[in-house]
Amino acid sequence: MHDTSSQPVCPHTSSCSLFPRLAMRASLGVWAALYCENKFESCARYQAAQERRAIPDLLLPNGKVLRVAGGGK
Amino acid sequence: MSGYWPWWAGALGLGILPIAYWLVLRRSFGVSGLMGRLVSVREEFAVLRDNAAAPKSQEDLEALLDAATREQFGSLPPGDVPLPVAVPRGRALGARLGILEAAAFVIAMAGGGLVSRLYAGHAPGPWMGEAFRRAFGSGALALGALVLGGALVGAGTTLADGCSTGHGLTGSARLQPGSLVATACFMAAAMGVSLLIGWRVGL
Repeated sequence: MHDTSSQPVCPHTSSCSLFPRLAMRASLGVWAALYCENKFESCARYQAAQERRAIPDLLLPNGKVLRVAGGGK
Repeated sequence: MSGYWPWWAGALGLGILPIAYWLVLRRSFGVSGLMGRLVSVREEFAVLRDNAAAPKSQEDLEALLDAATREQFGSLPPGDVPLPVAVPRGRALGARLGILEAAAFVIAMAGGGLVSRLYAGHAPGPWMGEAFRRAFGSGALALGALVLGGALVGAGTTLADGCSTGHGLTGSARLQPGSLVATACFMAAAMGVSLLIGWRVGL
């Protein structure tokens, strides 16, 4: 993939544990298009990083955490 | 203090640690950041539980991501949606240390101090040095000075986003402008206050 946009990109993409997983399937790039570019301030991961909070590996930009059924709380 | 290890051994250790930390973990090393993790233990353990409940297989992860994408966007996009920047190749920045690893590091750091102290022939226990004792005594004033100093360090490192290891060792070694400025500021302040206290107690 190459930089396809002149929009500002989230400064945490290089350290974000979710970002590489969005490259697993082409369709998942829609998350990055919405949350990693331009309006990345609305990403739950970005907000947690800015507040120095711990971030679950699979916290989605919309604030939901991916878990297997019956796993965790 | 002649009983302590030679200065260059400490310098070597302090120099090697942030470099090894970067090489192994691909993250900047900072003690204040690790200690700060212990302040939010509840949140850290909640993240541990979340991570423990994460799917273990690639197939499960992709299925969950697909489901979440449909839930969020109504349907999966029909075509390729390119990422805004390339996924880092090679060794990207690693995940930060977990709360247990951070706690282990802090405990080991105290343990290292104890070993060094015993090696120097001192009994275990708080010992801040002769200058500190002359300046603040050993009672409530000394305790108050330590509490105030600790609070200032905690607040300062939070405001500056780093401490003498994060900015002074790691950031300065990487010639990060912010770290160079931060290090110059806190070193100047430390020298100024040290001289002030030394002048006050006649050292």
